[in-house]
Amino acid sequence: MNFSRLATLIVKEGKQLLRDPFSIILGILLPIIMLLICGFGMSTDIRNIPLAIVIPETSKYTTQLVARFVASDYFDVILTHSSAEGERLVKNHQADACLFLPQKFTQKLHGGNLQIMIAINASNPSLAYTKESYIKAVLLSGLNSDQTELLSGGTNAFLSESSLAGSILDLKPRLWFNDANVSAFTLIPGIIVIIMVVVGALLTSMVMAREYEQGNLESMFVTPMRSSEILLAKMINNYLLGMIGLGISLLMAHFVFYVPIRASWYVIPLGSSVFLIMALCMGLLISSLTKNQFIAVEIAAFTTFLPSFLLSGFLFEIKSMPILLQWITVFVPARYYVDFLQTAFLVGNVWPNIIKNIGILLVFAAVFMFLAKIKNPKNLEG
Amino acid sequence: MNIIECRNLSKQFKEGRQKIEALSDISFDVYPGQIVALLGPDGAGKTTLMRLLCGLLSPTSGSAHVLNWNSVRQAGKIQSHIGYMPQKFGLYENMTVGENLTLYARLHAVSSKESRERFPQLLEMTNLAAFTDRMAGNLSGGMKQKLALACALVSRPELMLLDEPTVGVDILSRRELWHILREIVRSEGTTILASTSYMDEADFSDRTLVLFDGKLIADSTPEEIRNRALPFTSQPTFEQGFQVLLTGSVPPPLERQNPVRKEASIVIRVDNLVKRFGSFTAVDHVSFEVRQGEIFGLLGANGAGKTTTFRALCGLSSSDDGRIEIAGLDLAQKTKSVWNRIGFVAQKFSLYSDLTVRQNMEFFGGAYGLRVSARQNRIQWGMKTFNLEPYADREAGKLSMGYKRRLAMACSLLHEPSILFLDEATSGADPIARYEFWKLIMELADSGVAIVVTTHFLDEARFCDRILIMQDGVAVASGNGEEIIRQAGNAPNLEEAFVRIIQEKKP
Amino acid sequence: MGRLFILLKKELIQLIKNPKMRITLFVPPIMQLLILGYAATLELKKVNLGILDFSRSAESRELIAEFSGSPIFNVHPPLENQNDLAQQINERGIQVAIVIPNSFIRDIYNKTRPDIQIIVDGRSANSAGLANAYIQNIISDYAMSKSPNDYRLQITSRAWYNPNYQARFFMAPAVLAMIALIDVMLINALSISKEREEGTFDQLRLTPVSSLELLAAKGFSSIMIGVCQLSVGLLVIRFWFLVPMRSSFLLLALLLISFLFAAMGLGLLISVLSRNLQQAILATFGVILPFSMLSGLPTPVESMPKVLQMITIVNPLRHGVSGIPQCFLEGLTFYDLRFSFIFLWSIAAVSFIMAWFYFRRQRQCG
Repeated sequence: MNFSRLATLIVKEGKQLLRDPFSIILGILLPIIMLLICGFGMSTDIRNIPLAIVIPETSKYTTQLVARFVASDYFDVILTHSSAEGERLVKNHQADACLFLPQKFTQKLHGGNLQIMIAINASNPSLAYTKESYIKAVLLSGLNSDQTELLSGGTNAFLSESSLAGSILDLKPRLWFNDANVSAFTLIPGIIVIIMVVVGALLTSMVMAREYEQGNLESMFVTPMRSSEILLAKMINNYLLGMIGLGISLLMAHFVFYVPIRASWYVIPLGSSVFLIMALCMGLLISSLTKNQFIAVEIAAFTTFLPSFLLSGFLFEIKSMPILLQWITVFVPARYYVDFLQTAFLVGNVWPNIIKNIGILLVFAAVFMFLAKIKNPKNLEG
Repeated sequence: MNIIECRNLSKQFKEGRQKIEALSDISFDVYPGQIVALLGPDGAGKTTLMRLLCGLLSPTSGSAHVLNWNSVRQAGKIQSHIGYMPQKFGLYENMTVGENLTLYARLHAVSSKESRERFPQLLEMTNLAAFTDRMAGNLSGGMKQKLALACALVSRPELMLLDEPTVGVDILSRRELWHILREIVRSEGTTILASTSYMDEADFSDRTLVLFDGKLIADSTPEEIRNRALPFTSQPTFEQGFQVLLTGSVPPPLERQNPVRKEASIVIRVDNLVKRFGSFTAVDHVSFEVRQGEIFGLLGANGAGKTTTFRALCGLSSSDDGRIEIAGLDLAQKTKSVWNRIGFVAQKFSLYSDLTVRQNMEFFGGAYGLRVSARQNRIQWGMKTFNLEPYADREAGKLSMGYKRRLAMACSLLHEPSILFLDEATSGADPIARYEFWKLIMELADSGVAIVVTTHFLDEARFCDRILIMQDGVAVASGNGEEIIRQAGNAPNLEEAFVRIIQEKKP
Repeated sequence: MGRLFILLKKELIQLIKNPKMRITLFVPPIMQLLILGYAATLELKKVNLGILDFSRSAESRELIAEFSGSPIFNVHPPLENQNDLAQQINERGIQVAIVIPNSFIRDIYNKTRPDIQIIVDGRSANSAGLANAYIQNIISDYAMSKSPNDYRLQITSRAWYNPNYQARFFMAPAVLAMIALIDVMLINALSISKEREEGTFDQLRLTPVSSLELLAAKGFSSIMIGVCQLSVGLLVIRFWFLVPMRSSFLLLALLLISFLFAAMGLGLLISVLSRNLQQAILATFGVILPFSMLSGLPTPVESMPKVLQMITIVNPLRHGVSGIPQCFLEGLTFYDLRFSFIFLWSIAAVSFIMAWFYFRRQRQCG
């Protein structure tokens, strides 16, 4: 390793980046846009669920029950008197679910034998499940008060604001580390992973494949330059770009969306560096295997980008996947990075967690670095 | 100590299931302080040999030692101690001329003191001093080539391997360049191995290696090669010797069967053409006419405005002033109907490299709107005229340069244009390929096609009916060969005439 | 027409000639679909649950037994105290904890809902919300079974279209949409830049081929590739994942093709506007990322602010992610999907016309 040579190459790469600022713009703009979308646009919390309620008869109790749904932020209630109409509303997507109150509701309520049916559009099953539990919770707390009222003979107790608020509060669990259940808190680590993968693997694989395509490397090879120096120079600039992206993401997360960063200040940059370096090595490896921009990008997209999105545990719980897939996720580095980021953001310095994840990422980085090195000999064979 | 020692060097490439013998059983030595020219037709294995010597490829059998290092085991050592200029030199297009030079100087660990001495010299030699701050991507093709050479020369290594260093470079620059190379050899004892397609360059080398079909068929002095043509002519040129070596005879001189008649109609009329790029005027009030069946040569040094004029003529770029008439139609207005009448062969033969020869022809025929039967007929014609039948199903990207040139010509002639534009179509071609090429061009012209060519081979200018010489965007001389020679004060030949005219006008 | 056919043929040959390319176009997408069909599950299994039981009564043990019996939860040994709970959650030993209060027995017989505290590891929002829903359901059911006065309340729910809440019924078609979008957009985005970089663009400009023909040929060829990809994908979805097919196949095909056309238009627009291959690729990803985030796949469109929901109508992926699974699961008619069709075709038309406009201008000015 010769540092003045390396410095020369790094300066050259930097100049090229600045001359064609498209990738810099992307490296800066992408985090900003993604975080804005994530912070303002994405939420796992479902509100304004269009809910049809079929009430065959109007009584004090049905009115009170409906009032609970109406008063809640979670539902947009559409009232109807016929069950056929209720079903039609769900079928036409005017309502996501329909609550069928039985005939002779009051009588059955008094008789202590009440059967209520919920029909729900489950073509998006996870959403459906959540909606169903919301409906059940409102229903239960409402009926609970009804029943108490029946037993105690009191009147109108349940329309009071306090009890309404109480019933809705019941819906919410206490989320540790994320008291307000702001979705951004949990999504932002995932967004950072994606930014790192795009800058690290995708951009790098492309830049390098381009050099192969344009034949720039042939003259570069016949210089005292070592291949490790060529690789390192490529990495350093994209590393800086990735770290700028990380910086922007952290600042925005903290100051715009008030996401807590509970770990010490150096923990996230440290772990992110390890992950970024690994992603860079992956990018280099892909480009030297394909030597073609289009194929490099396709491969990078399908081996790094999509798995980071879907197999990292940020959107989908790894434990719920089939065993075989759980095994596959063991080889998805993003999985460890997501775990690391979530803990560092929301919990703090949990050293066993930090050390384990950074350790595993280091192993990945070493493996990819090694592969990138041996797959990038200074020759044109193959 | 020998600088290069090749012993029974062979290289095979696998292509699908086929094995292609790129080089077989090559043995030669190169001694210190020599300038060795490597000649041979396209696809003879020149580039493969260069790459083997720098350790970019490994031989299938045999061995190569460069500076006493083994090309496989000690490739790193070799790579740090030689200068190498590949055909497709890795200039960074979004860096300036100066930055590219500095980059290679630093990579070769040239001290900044040395750089300060060497840069002005190199820039002067390549005529790039005025363009130090221009982006490499904005240079003309020839200027890029010169810059690449300057980059390769920046460290003065013991051995320099130059792969076609002067392709697309004009005669003046070539002369200066070889002057510098010889200077380096003389003063520093550098050894040079350069492949080239310019026979005059081979002529003043110390030794000539000729590759043919992967085999080394000659390893001798230029004089010996020249003398091979003695049975055919009393004062043989190197080119003739080379032709004898490869084909066994000197081909008969080319003659037009059907010279242009004075009354032939004018098919291209250029009137005061002006093209500006920002404040820079690339073409400054150029006017000329081309008649039916005429071969019109557009000559000039690199950056003189030839390519710009050319692109404006085909309608690839708009002009800022003046008028271009093609086949009686104003180019500015009827661009589309004009396109059916012109054929265009670009410098780099813009073919679809992943399509086969037949598919390329099918595609271009279709793109010109030929109907199925007409298209098949023309493809048949193209295959036959250009001898492409054996390669019909080979991918264009895998053809040798010579066949790419043929295919590009065939594609551009499918729609039977009445005007053909050829932009440096013979760059990098060996004499035999150029002879065949010009034979074809003359036949085409005989049949009435007007042909506009640009070239850096000044001996080709003698095939042109008329010549226009450009310098700094201005037409500085025009006429037929004799007229040009007269204008240059009775120079001994066209080449000298050209050099004199250009030097005279040089600021 | 003949010319268009020739152009189309050339584009197709270029796309599938290279064996590496063929593999890249078909193998990874199908692999992804298979993997993601399984991965993209929002069901929870074996959620590590810790229980801090202050009540220590027969009733609380009954409730705990309910959790142990459920396949969703993996009940850990009882927690000692709040500190123990905190530590286990911190180290990801357990993801959810419930705290059963002293007052549990009293609550159970007096109210339908006992005050059970549920604590969820908030690091993963999706699973946290779901785990909470499951726990709520179990507690409600238990509480109801213990209702006083023989009060019997029965809530039955019917999940239409997907009775077993099979996540992959939704996920596999949605992921297919995402894969098709990425590929078709990329192919188009790279098409013109590739000609520019290889120098064939100039040659093409000198032929009488019109800009419209050229764009159409490039677009159609990518659509044909997209159709092949989708067909294989549909077979996987229908016969491997056994997703029911309740709408007419024609409607689904029409929706998919509309979706491909929208992706094609956007890809071509990017291609025309970018100067080189690298820009085209980066721009494509710059567009695909927000599209994916706002598609409704990671988080529901309904939860977005109204303004953003409006903006997402220009996101073809949103229409794909909502429409394609619905097409499979709910017997839809053309009328149900009318808005998706209108928007997809508008996206396709506007972007294609813009691409055409800029392309023509570039061709003329050089």
